[in-house]
Amino acid sequence: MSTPGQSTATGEWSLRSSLVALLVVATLVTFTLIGIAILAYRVPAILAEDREHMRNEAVGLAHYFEQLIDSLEGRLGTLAALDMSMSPRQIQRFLDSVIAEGGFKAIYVLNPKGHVEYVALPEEAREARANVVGADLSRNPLLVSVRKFGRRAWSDRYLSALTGDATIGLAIPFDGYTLLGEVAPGFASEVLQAGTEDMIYPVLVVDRAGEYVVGRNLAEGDRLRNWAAELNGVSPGRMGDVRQIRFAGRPYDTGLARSDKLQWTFMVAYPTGMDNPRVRVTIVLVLVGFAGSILLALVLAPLWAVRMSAPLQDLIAQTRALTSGTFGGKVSRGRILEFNQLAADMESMATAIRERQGELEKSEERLLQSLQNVQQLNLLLEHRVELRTIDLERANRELSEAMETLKLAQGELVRNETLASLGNLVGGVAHELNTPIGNGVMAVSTMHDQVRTFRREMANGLRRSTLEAFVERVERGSEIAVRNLQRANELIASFKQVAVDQTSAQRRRFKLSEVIDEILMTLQPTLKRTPFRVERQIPDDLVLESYPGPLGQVLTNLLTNALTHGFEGRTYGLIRISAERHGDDQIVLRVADDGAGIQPDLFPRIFDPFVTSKLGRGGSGLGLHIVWNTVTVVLGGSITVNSTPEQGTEFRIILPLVAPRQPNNG
Amino acid sequence: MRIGFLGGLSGSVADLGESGRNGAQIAVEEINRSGGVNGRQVELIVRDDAQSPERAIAATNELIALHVEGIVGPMTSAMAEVALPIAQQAGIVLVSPTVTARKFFGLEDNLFLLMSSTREEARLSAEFHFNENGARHVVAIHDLKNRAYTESWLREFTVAFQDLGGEVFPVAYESGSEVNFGSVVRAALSKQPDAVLMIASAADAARFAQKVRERNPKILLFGSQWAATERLMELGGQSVEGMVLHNYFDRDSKAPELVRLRDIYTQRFLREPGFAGVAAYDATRILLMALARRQHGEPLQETLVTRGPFPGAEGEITFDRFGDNRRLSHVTVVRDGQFVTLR
Repeated sequence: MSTPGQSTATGEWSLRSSLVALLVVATLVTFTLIGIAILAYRVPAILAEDREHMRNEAVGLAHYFEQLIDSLEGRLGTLAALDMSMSPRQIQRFLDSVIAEGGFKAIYVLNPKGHVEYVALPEEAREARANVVGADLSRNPLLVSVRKFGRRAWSDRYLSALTGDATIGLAIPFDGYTLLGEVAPGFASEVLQAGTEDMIYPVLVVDRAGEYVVGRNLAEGDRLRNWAAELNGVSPGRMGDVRQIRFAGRPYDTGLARSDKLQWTFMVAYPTGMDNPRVRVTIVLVLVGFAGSILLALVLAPLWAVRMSAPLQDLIAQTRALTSGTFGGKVSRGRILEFNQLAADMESMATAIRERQGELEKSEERLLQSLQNVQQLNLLLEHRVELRTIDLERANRELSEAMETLKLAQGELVRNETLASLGNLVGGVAHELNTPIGNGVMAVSTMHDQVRTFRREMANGLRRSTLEAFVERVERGSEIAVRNLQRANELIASFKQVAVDQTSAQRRRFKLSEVIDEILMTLQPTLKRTPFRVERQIPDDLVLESYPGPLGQVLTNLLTNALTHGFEGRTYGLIRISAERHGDDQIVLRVADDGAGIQPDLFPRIFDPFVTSKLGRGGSGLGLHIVWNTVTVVLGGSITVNSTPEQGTEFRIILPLVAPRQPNNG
Repeated sequence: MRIGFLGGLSGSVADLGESGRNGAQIAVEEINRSGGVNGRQVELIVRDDAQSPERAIAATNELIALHVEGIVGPMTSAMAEVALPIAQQAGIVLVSPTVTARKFFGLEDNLFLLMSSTREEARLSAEFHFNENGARHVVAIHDLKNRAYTESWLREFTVAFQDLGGEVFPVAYESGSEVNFGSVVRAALSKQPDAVLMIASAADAARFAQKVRERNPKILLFGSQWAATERLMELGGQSVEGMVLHNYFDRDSKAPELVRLRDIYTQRFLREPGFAGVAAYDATRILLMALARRQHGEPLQETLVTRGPFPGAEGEITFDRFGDNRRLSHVTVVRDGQFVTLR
């Protein structure tokens, strides 16, 4: 029985444990589902918000750049009002005043041939002026484009005519001249710094060809690479776009904006997926909630379970008391309706049990009395049975003695039967030998007569022709005698074997076909006198190590049975003997006739002793009993029979190829 | 699988580095689109040497630490001088598209060179200008900042030109923001030369040309391959017209691979690839192809030497046992703002 609060070894759970488990599992499942729902709803929303935010940031940055570029353009634009007929010194002064305002590292005035006529440089680089004045910038791509379109233009990435460094340039055409301003190298990075002060993720500005212009928080590899592939097809315009772009191998949601004026693309990146800080915070919150709910459930659930199961414990104790026969206990009441109902029902049940128990005790007394009566009757009965048993034992003894006598008689009869078959055998032998020996005798006596005749003729003088005739006759006669005596010899040898087998029950290795042939030969005299035929179909390769004598006896009995019972009163009949291999170590031997069949009333007892259809007409009734006995005991096989009245009978004998050894003849 | 690119991507030689990097990037993207090297995608890791030895050493070490299979670069001989010992020690192969200094040739080292040495180019230049242009007194302005290259070029040119019977006057300067191009040119022209040779970057050569033309509109200008980039025209304008230079590839070639590369490059980067872009494309493809052809356990140097030839944009490329390709550069002239191949 389980004790409260523990689960038993058989896997039963106490109410308290299952209540605790229920509460914990319910809490976890609920929070897991809520957590997944929160993540499934919030994470995409956060990412979408951040993407939108990045798009706005990129657009804002582009706008900010353009504003500052506008102010530079305005600054340079004032020079477009220069009157080139002014004195060179004056023009130079104007240029120098603009460059002093900052933002440009060089301002050139190019004449219609594209040669530098004036150049303004910051204070610290004035001595380089000589390098530049007179320079031919006619193939400068920015100048070429401004001349082609006749309006002001910002360069893409532009190689400084002063230093060969990459920078950006602004060209403004006026009066056939062109103003060319090269923006100071630090300008773009300063602007970017100011525009993206609080950003800790990659910010990148690239030119039309995807080449780095300026950036922040970038790995060196990202600064040095070309971004054309990532920006392929960014829609120009102020609305911007958002794409997922990899910086230093990690994906970022990147806001993209294009500045029409500069043909630059502004990229502002923010981590996406699990790298997104807000996503991480959300996940951490969900995990904290999850862990908190587990803790709370683990603390609260046992307390709740104890409270819930207390009335039940009381009920259990009360039930045990009832079982052990203690009545009148009161069950305490708790706050749970069903438990209270159960307690009330238990109390009324206890009362009912007590009443019934009283009644039971009374009827038990009555029962005890009648039981004593029955016991007396029993004693009487036993006495009578004893008397009868003595009578029965006597009768039984007499029966046993009679049985013994019968058994002796049966043994005698079996021996007689064996002798009878031996008699049959001798008869057969005599019959078979009759012909060759008779022939031999006749030949010899004929020869004897001729010898006498010859002697007589010899007294009258011996003629050559007479001698020749005599020799020929003697030769023929002796030939006949020798042939017949040899035949007799063969027969005797074969009968000798049969006789040895039959009388000694010798165990040997033999060919089944040979033994069957020998048996058939001994039966030949019997068969010859009948119209019945025997067909045999025995494969030559069936070799048994068994007892050929007993086997012959079995066959003789079965054949005799067929002739005497099966074909009685018939003018034709066919017995088929066949054998074949049965499994690895057995053969099956069939003896079938097409005779009258076995009477149905005899059929079930056919192998019992003293069963015969010719009771009182010469049948001993032991033939098939001996067959059964020999097959099962001596040969170690089994025999079955099938019979249909007026159709025939078939005996089926299964024999082992190697017969079990008989204990008495080893 | 990572390969590195090392080149100058800032400062006045950035055009060379940038073209090289773009060529390398196209080659890597092409191989990745066709399934990578033996099924592995290739990542190109770019580092800037800024033409400063310190930066080049740091950048090379960084690339080696990132386990690159090989490095395309460096783009100038001065950088090769510092990067090679580090790469040699780490067993990393450098395939340089543009390094030509004589001293790197004929050595069994980790540096594989696509271009023929300064000797071949300088001799070709000397013979061409002595025989075809009748130059006899040449003043050679050369940049000491890339001494490994410029001095090698100058020496080879001087030997060859003097052998022919000419005379060479060297004028050295060191590139940077303080250079006074006017005074260098003044010093050069004071030698009364009949031709001015500039062994300088495109940006510097363009500005020297400007200064020379101010004083002498007729004198023959010629330069080494280093200056043969599109920036020469951009910064030099009319003054570089007629200037004779050398080029890795024939700009008038109709070789289908080259035409295709120039199309892709121009469309993608909005400018011409230049010799550096084409050579870096070739170098990168060779490096990737060697990685693909390499047998298990074979050093990459051996693969490069024995498993050639490798396809180049303008023809096949084979390395001798020193890892040199010895390909003759073409002679080009600036005509109407374009490079035109003379031979």
